[in-house]
This record gives sequence, structure tokens and C-alpha cells, in this order.
Amino acid sequence: MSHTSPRVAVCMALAMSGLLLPTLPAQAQVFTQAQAEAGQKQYDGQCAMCHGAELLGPDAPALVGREVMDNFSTGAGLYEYFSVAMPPQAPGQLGSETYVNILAYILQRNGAQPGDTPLDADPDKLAAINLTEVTSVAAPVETAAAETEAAPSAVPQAFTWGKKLPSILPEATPEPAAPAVPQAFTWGKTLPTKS
Amino acid sequence: MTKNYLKTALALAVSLTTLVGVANAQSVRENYAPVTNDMVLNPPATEWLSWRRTIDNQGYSPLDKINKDTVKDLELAWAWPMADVGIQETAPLMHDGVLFLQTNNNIVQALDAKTGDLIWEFRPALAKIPAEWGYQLYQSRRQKNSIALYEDTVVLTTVDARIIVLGAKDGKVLREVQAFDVNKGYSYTVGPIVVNNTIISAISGCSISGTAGGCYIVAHDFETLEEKWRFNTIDDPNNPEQQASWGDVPPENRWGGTPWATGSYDPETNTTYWGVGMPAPYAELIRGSEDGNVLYTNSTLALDATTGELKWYYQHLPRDNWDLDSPFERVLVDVKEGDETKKLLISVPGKNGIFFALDRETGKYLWSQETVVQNVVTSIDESGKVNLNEELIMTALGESPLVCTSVSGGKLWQAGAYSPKTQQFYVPLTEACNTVEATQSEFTAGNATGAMKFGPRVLPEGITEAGLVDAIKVGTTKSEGEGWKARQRASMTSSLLATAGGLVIGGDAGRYVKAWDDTTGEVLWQQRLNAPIGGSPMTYELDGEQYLVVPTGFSAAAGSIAAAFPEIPLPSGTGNSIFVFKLPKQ
Repeated sequence: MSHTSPRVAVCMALAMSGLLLPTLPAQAQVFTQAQAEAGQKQYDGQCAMCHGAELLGPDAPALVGREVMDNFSTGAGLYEYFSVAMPPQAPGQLGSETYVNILAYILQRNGAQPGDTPLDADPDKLAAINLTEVTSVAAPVETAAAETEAAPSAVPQAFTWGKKLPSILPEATPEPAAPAVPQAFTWGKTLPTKS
Repeated sequence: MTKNYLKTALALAVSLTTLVGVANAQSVRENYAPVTNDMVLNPPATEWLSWRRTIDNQGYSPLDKINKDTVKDLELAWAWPMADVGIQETAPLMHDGVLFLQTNNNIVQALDAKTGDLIWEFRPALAKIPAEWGYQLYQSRRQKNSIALYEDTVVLTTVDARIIVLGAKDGKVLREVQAFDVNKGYSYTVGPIVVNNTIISAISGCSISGTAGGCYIVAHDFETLEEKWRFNTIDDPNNPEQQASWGDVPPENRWGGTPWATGSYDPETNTTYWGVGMPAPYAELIRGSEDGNVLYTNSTLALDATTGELKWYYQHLPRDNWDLDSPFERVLVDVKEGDETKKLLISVPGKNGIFFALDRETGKYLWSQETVVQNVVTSIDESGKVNLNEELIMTALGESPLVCTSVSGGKLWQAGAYSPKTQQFYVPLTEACNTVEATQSEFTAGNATGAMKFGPRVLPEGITEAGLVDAIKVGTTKSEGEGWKARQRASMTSSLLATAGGLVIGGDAGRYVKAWDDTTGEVLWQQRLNAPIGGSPMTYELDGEQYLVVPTGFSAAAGSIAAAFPEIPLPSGTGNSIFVFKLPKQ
């Protein structure tokens, strides 16, 4: 190996340690900016009247939030639902390109970063998108109006929160962070896996 | 000269009309007769004093001017816009010439029941909750039968967990109490029963993270608003069996058990009956309760109305793993069999659409009957023990069984109606299934603890019509070959109303209000309106004329199954309104 300049060596070390930002791992950039922009227009026209301009409802459920990302869990989970059922005035009728664009926009609103790789409707590719991983939504801040009582500082969790559960999913479920709030009874426990 | 005279005459006529309008509203306001306790127990035939007219929850009117022969002649008398948007679940009440309406965000209006003119409007200042608390915000914009009438007041339960007593004449606040802590997530969805100077209510919001450990039916003194008793549906220290049914899960990791349909009351035994909803997290895989039945979720509770003590309970769906919530209307019915009067409690209590008849004095299971397609309950023993299809119980993340009925029903909050004339219970239903998948997710403030992903609602295999009205013959035993079923493409979206005129009235996602013949199920009348029919249609009589009130508006239930009838598009606006019909004057 030829002698590497100290500067290059430092950069290589930093890159390997993952500290050299802002390059994200390729698998975290799953849609293009063009798709998200088209998706915003389509969302505003087809979805915002119920789900809100800020995707926070309230006439229909919120589409932004950690809970939403965790609950639908993969791109396929979200896509399979709304590409069939939504919007109520034309369910499943918008065409896959529009649904893909809207999915890109929802991901972006949840903090996911755009990249060069376009999102497409392929079920396997959508299933490989882990919504929690690609988005970077922080746990919502517990703000309360000044005139109301102070909100509790810890959020109660399911009994199984923090416990490893059995899973048949292709990827291992992420190691849960040390819970700051009461969790589900089974959180962190190893539960049976479907074989 | 003539021109001036005409102008003056016209001006005079207009001002006189205005005065008459105001004077009428004024006199209605001033002469409002108090709703006595006797009236609550036995309302005048011409009035509609509580959610289902009577506090046995039957949803039946003895009025018959609008009947099988005349219903086709119904004309629109007037219409009125709801004061706010949101899911249309209103249940109008009528007493002494005043129609009381409540809408989302706890707006209450008093209208002249003859003309629809506004008498007063009350808009509370509600506690602000953060925009990120999406689930709490979403659930709170769906106020149902949030008001009750008692003496000269309107008793309102609010999304910020208060009970407010308003003057019926002017809508002004007389007194109020903060019944539960809204910052934890508690929020009223339904209104109370008020009887014997007691307000009996049940709180909601119990699948929101901060409410862990308790969901309650509660009683307050009507005058002082002091809390008299409360009953916790998921933590009963007096019952070791209840505690054991959650396995190792302590109260601080238990959610759900929400009683989100207004209960009923039997004055003979001073018993109040309430339905309890599902446990959360929905799947035992996440919940941690293993094979425990998780009492008192999905049960009927019979409570002493004075002390709040539990007389009996019956669990309609033990060990729920699919959010097949079972809190819906518990209806009290007396049937004569030979010389005996049998006291029953009937219900389609849960989303899975199974009808139950219980002995309401003992809680003993009598019989049951399926309505829509469901695949979770395999059988119910004669003892009343409910047996489940264990193959549908998820044991690992990633499993996603297809479950019927869907999380949107089957049956939902839209109430059935019982006719003592036909001795039949008429139920509005939707055929639907969905996949479910347990998710292991961190709970956040103001958001839900269901921890489950639902697939789109789809029709069950072999079914092409989403809507069903099922007429079930009621007795102490199941009747074979009686009753009827009316099927249609669009799903049912409102409560049903049964009348002595022989009609069953309600409506659907296709914007049709319909009147079915209560004996044959034939559609005798229909009218297309501006939006899916919603809330609880009702009827009253004033000055010898019978009125039919039909709420319309945004229907989340319709939206969720709209893919099953794509040829009937839903409107993208809300259109929340009431339409009031009557017969032409003779």
C-alpha cells in the first residue's frame, strides 16, 4: 500500500467510523426529490382535505409521526393500504405512479431524505424499506399550553417494550433503545419466531 | 301614493314576520318545561329525550303518522348545517318544542323544532393539545350523543374530559367539573345518562399512552358535580379473577377497556348496564398477557347505579387479538312468554357482529346469532363460553392473518333499534375483513397503544355487497326462520330508528336515507341527500305533525370500505347537516 497522506488517512478513518457526514447509507435514500414534489401536489389535491395540509389530521388520522412509521413498519405496509383504500372519493383509482409519489412525500414529511434512486411500486422493494430507519422523526415534544397542568415526563409503554419479540420478518428488528418511559410488558423479551 | 302604501305595507309585513319568529323562539325559550325524572324514565310519546329515545336504549318511537302507507309522501320541511366538520355522529334530542344538537368540538345548539331557527348556540373554549398528539386529536373530533336533558338543563360531556351543565333556555354554563385529566389523554366520546339526580358517564381516550391503568364508568351528583363512585374496567382489586386474567401485566401497562357507548338503566333494579371495549395493545404478543382473557374488556357490566358495585359481568369476546372492540349499545327488552315476563339484555355488542341475548338480572347467557361473516369465534358453548380460532392469534412479528370482521366492523357505533311491535332488533352492519399485524413500536405522548397495522378493508370471499340490515327476532331462545336481511352495495353508516308506523329508518354511504318495512325488509321510501347518512336519525311530533330528522356528513367508516363499492364515489367534502322531513299538511 502506498503511503497515504495524513489528511486522506484521517478522512478514511472518519468515513469508516461513520462520522463523515452528510453522506447517508444508500439504502436510506429511497425516493427522489422530484417524486416528493410531485407527491406534494397530488397529496394536496387528493388527501389534504381529510388528512390535513400538515399531515396531522384531524378529520382523518395523522400521517406524520413516529407512531405512524412504527405502525405501518415498511413501505409496503403503508403502500398496500392506501393504494387500495384511498382516497374515499376514488379508492385505488389514482394510478401507481401517483401513489408512489404520495408515498415519497409522506416519507419526506416524516424526515426521510431524498436521493438518486427513485421509489417504485415493486412489492419486494417496498417491503425492504423500513419506515423507522429511513425517517428521522424524533419522538414528539410533549408541549402543553401554559394554562394546563404540566404533562407527565415519561410515556407509559407496552409491557413488552424493550424486549426482543419473535419475528418472521427478513431483517432483525432494531435493538430497542433503553426506554425512558414505561413500556409494553413484552418489550425487550425474546418471543417465539414463526419458522 | 299607492307605491308608498305598498312599500310601507311590505315593510310592516316583513318586520311582523321577523317579530313573530323572534317571539316564537322567545316563548320557546321562556316556557321550557323541565325534564323530570319521571319523564326520563317514561318520555312522552312525542319526544326524544335521550340518545335512543328511552334509557333502555331501544331506539323506538311510538309515533305512527309516518307509516308504511304515508312514508312515500314525505317532504323536506327544512335543513340545517352542523356547526363544525368532523365525523357525523350526532344524536339530536327533542323536548318541549326545542331540538338540541351537538357536534364536534362540543358545540351545542338549541333549535326551534318546528322551523329550525336557532335559539341559542354554546361553544366551549377547549383545552389545547399539541398538534403532534395526532391520535388524541383525531379521536376527539367525533362527538356522538354527547348531551343529556335533565330538569331545565343540558348536560354535556367534553373532549377535554369535563362535564358541563348548561341552562336549557339560554345555553349558559351553570356549573362544570374536570372529571379526568385531559393531559393524560382522557377525553369524553359519548354522553351520559342522567337519572335520580345522578350523572352516570364513561370516559374515553383509554388507548392513549398516558392513560395506562384505568378506564372508568363514573357517577357525579347532578347538583354539586361531586364524584360519587367510579368503576375501573381494567383494574378491579376486588376481583382476583380479573387481575389474573391479565397474566403478569401490571395495571401500568394495561390500556383499553373503553366504554364508548352510552349505557342503559333499569329502574326496577336500579342497575346501569355498560359495554366495555377492547384491550390495548391489541395483540397479546405485544400486550404480554399470554392467553389471559383480559377482563373486563369486551364485556357487559351490570353496576348498581347508587354504589357503582359490580353485580355481574359477561365477556362477549375474551382474549382479543384483533381490536374487535365490543362496547356497543346494550338494549333492555322485556318479552312476554306465556304468563312470564322475561327481562333480557340484547346487543350486537362488538365489531364481529355477533348478536347476544342475556338474562339481565343474572347475566346468564341465553343465545347468540351471527350476522356478518366472521372467522374469529368458532363456537359459543351453552354456558356462554366463547371459543376462539387460535390460528388467528399472532405468535410472532411479521405474521398477518386475514381477520373478519375488520377493525371497522361488522358492527360499529351505529346503533340498532328494537321494536316491541315486531319483537325484532334491527341492526346496521358492514361486511368487511382486513389483515392485521402486530407491531412493536414505542408509544409517544398523545398517541395510541394499539401497536397493530391493519390492511385495507376488503369484502369477505363470496360477498359482493357491503351493506346489511339484519332483523333478528328476539325471545329467550333463538328463533329459526324469522327476521329478515336486506343487503345492498353501499355500507350502512347511521344508527337505525324503529317506529310504530312499521318502519325501520337509516342510511348508507351512498347518501341514501331509506325506510324499510319492519316486517318484510322491503324498501318503502328512499331519498338521496348530500353526504353519507350519519349519526342517529330520530323522530318527534309537534302540533300534530310528525318530523323525521336525518343527520348527514363525513363518515370515516364509509371511507375505510369505499374500495368495495367504487361505483359509488364518496364526496370529498363533508356536508355535515341535518335534514328534517314531514308529511304534507292535509
